[in-house]
Amino acid sequence: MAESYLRQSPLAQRALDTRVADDTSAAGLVLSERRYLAKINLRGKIDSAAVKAAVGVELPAEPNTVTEGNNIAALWLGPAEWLLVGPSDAEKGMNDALVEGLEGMSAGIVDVTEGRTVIRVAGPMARDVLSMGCPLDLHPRVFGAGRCAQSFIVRSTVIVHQVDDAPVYDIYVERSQSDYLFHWFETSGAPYGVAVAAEPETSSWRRPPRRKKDGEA
Amino acid sequence: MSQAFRNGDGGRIDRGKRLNFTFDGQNYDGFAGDTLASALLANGVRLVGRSFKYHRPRGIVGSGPEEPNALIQLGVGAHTEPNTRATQIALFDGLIGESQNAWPGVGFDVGAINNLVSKVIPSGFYYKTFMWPAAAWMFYEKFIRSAAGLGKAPSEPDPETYEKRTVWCDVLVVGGGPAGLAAARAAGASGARVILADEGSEFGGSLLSSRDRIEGREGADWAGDVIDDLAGMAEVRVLPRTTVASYHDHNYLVAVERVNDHLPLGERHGPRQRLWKIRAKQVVLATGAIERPLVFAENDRPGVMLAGAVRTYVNRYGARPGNRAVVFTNNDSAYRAALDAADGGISIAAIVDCRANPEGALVRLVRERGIEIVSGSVISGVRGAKQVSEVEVAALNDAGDDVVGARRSFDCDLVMMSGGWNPTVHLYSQSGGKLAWNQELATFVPATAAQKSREVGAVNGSFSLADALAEGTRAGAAAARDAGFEVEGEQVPACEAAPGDGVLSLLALWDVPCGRKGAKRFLDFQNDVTAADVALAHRENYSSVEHFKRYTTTGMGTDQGKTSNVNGLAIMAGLRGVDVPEVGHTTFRPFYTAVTVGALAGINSGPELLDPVRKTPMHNWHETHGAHFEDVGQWKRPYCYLRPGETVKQAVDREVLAARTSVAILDASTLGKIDIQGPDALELINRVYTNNFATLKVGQCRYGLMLKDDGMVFDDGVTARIGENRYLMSTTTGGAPNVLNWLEEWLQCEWRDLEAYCTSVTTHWAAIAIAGPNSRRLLAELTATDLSNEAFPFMSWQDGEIAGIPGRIFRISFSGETGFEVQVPASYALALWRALMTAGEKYSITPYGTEAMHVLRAEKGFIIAGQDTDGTTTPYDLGMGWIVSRKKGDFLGKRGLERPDTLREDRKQLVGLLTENPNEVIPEGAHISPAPDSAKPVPMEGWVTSSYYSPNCGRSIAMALLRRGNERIGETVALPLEDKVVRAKITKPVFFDEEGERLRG
Amino acid sequence: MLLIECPHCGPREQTEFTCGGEGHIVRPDPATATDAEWGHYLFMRKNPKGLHFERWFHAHGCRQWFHAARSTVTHEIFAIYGIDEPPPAIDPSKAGSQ
Repeated sequence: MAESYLRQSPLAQRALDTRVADDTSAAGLVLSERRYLAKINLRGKIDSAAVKAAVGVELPAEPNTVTEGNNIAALWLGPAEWLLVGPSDAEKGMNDALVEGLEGMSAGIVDVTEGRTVIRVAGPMARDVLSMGCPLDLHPRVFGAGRCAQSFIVRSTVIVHQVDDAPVYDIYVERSQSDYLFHWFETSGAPYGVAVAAEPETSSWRRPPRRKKDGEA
Repeated sequence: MSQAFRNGDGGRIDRGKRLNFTFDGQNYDGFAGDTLASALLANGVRLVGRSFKYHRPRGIVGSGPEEPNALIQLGVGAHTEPNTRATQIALFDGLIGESQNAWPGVGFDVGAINNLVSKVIPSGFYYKTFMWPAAAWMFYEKFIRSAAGLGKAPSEPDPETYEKRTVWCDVLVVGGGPAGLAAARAAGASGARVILADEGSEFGGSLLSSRDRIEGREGADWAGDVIDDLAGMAEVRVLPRTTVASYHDHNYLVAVERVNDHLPLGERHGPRQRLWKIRAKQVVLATGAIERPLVFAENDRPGVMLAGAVRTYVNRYGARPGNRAVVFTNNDSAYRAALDAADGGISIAAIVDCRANPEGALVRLVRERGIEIVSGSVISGVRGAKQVSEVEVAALNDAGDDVVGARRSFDCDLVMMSGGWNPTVHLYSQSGGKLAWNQELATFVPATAAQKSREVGAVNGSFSLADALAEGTRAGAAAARDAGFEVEGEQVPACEAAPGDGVLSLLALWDVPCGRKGAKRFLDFQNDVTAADVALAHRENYSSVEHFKRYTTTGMGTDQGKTSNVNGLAIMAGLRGVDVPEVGHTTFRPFYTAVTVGALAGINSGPELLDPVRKTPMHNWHETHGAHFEDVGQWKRPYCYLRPGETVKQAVDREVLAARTSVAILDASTLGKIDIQGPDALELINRVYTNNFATLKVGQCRYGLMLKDDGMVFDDGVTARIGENRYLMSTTTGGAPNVLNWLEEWLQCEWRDLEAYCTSVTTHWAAIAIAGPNSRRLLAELTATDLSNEAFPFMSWQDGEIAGIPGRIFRISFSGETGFEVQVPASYALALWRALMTAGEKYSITPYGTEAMHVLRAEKGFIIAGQDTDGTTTPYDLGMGWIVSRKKGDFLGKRGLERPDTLREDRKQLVGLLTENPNEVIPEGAHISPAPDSAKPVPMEGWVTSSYYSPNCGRSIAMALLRRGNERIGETVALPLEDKVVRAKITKPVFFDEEGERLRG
Repeated sequence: MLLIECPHCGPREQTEFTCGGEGHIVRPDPATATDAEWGHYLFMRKNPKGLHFERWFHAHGCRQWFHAARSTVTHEIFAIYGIDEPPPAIDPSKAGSQ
């Protein structure tokens, strides 16, 4: 594992940690970056129980929904594609556990941790500001907490995950476009007041105890 | 003169809130609740503009979006906006407006000379006079444009902000008149998501101009109560000042909310306007109707107004557009207007009715008032230059096509005209709905809806209040039901119908005779089209509806024919001797009223927000080290790094030389990378590349060429075998999404039995290319991996830790130099880049950009897919037959390469070009001609695809696709340029280190 | 702008999709196809007024291909069905076919 001081998040140039507001209650839009979340892309003919055994989360069966378990969120991306999102630095452990646990299955297991970053979008205007660029129907009757969708914001491909009814959203964006999208959020939210919040804390991920195979000591 | 034409009471204005404004440099005041038009009328201002073509004096005609004349240049400086309608501008304190289309001023306009010479500028004049010689149009146009012009666009950047939002709803109700309000209330009560939009500042529509009562209250008060009800419904969104401007497929509608336009600049907060992109399950159109002018002699004099508009000014604004009016009508509705005008203090000199025996409730009421009705007659002339002073009235003959008998004159300062009402079917028609001619109303009404929409009230031809309320209520409830909601016992609001409510008893009279030749009878005020112009179009055989519209310009401009269309069609029908439906109608197009470009753009303008900007992890380093960026798709890539005082060419030459003499590094992070896994990963790769990957061992890489199934080169890149069933495919920067989609398409649509899984890792891995004779030495300082030729041969890869960062090292090269590519997780890439720059100082390490990369690869004759190929280029055309496997089974493009056309010997083939003058760099795209001096069109036989100055070769080099190029090596070809002909010798497309010793060294 | 019912994600805006053109084109066996047959497969496409069976890709969504039966006159979508399914029976006159 490389030294963490060598690491730089996609939004590092925006120096968000120096802009964290003590009180975000007056802001219509509250933004933060969730850096370095572990992300494993899963594709193929995958047995959800095996995933549960390997990393501790079941796969969502219903399209565009999210299941959670063992500090991992499993996002439905397609009929045979999921994104497992765990805490920072868990990617190697999750990847290894999945490679081992899904051995013999027809699957693609890819560490995509660095490919996207997550912009957390909160505040009373969060839904309205999202609707300024995102074509999804975000009304609570249609899209509430626990739902996710791949779509776009203006012209950036994103995954929208609503994590709370407040509402709070996690927006997964290509790291190369994250600076653009953050700027877009700040500009779109400006008439309603924008504040930067501290990065939400995450718990750590621990690999579930391995079940002994037959004949193993 | 302060509001001399304002009544002491009545109307929906707040006389306690006085607002100052300026029009054409003159100060006036009005009241809160006024429009600019009502305030001008209250102040006695009658002349508000000059007409487009003849510069005739014009006044206010309407009271809403139909206004053709009162176009205002609103605001000054960067905030100015042309072509706004005075009738729709909410008055605010400090408003500044200017009339348009007049110079030096609206009172004395030099362009008015056009009026006197109008005989020589009839319809089609521009087309006929200025069409020849064609080149002179550029000359004429400048003068025509400046003389014509409708307002001035601001020359400064727009300081305002605009917002766009997507919103989905169950029921969208367009129009907040009685029908729309009833619909919104019925739908909203079900709990459905309802949006109610109205272009006015106040809801109520026609109720605001009438004195009708609903559910025991004044109509306007009822409207206010409904809005209060709706505000209490959680899922209902009420949008005032919002014009639904277009209706597209699948119930997608676009609306513009004027959030701040009604406020003084200093009081505005947030976006000026908000564009709503609405996706509705069901739509209720309650868009009302627009009154039709009558086409009579001199009907464009200031003071000739629509009767309903006068009623609005009196009832809603307490403003009198005149003191003494003559009413001219072909239907009953003008009698209602006359009664209200009379109650509002306007004396009615007479009602001129073209019908021989007008009768009905309203007619009786008028008679009871003692107002004279001149039946079977028309206005045959209007006098008064800048304001109506007198009208001449004549009796119609029995046929109704001429006037007979003695003329009578009436003094007046106002003419109230009504030719009937046209349902506002614009949105309905945009939605694809079919229209039908209604003979009784003499207009087009909705017939068969094309989308999930319902039309209610006046737009449906239902002009009575009771019908509007009933239709609205039923449609709102039905729409909610169809959207999946339960509606209980919908209640149609009870109304006290005024006498004659909704009855027109109309007699169509399209072209009003006047018994004089040359008297102008205007049908389109905004575009200065007269009945005579329609006749001219007909004579010249421009009689089909689309031809007639363009020839006469009827219905063009900001007006879009709101008042003129049906009159024009009907006059044409009369000339052709057919019924109006046989003439048909032109297509209604978005937008209903003009939409500011700013609202369409939203915040998505300027270099940072127009389009997503993609940046690599090293972007900010590049920025602070002189990078001169170029756009590669959405990516920003350094083209070169400029040192102080350096030109771009000097920088590129320096970077190219550094890569061949010491060591240089390139940010290659933008290259596409696709992780491919699964039991059939190899099979997939073998089917999409031309060459064989079955022999590729784990730890090795191979260059591959990808073809479309027609055999044409599509993309290329190096693929590494990462594991037993795992590959990492690289693509061109621009091709990355296309290749991933291509693989996905074949896997999902054609090769459904293959179990292979593709995942983009383009931005997970950042990549740095290290090139040059010192590259191995440099990299060795940062990694423990053995980089020797024996341990790490060309076209292999290994896991390794570089500068403390775990990643992958690839022994590949696009520069033709000894070189490596290092890939690390993106968030560590900047650290690695810095470590390389620091360690490389002793080798004078040089970061290089895309242009140096291009020069280096061109020196070696390496192609760039998409630059040296264009979708018609085969591997054989590129001299890359070596990469097409003849042994393996089917792959994409294999059969395509065997087609006769692909096998032609005279295809264009990739060659090198060396100019006679070694310093001459041919522009890319230059054509090669076998006879550059021949008559035009000069024959062509190929073109230059890549061209650079190569400092390593000490001369220019170029690559070209040339007909039969392979067999013409050694020949000299000619390239005609704009100012000279360049000659160049054909060579093989390799210019440097042909044997590739440096690459493998 | 169309509203397209993705078989997996439900109704989404057209901007999330790319149209892959005519569906149900059979790739001939390259070993036996004549030049004419291969050329027809590569280049010849129907351009009907009315009912059209076509392929769509939910590019900015679940990244799945599917079929749609759409009227090129009214844009009405009569059916959405799997990429491996045959075209459903639809009365062409309903789609404005001539």
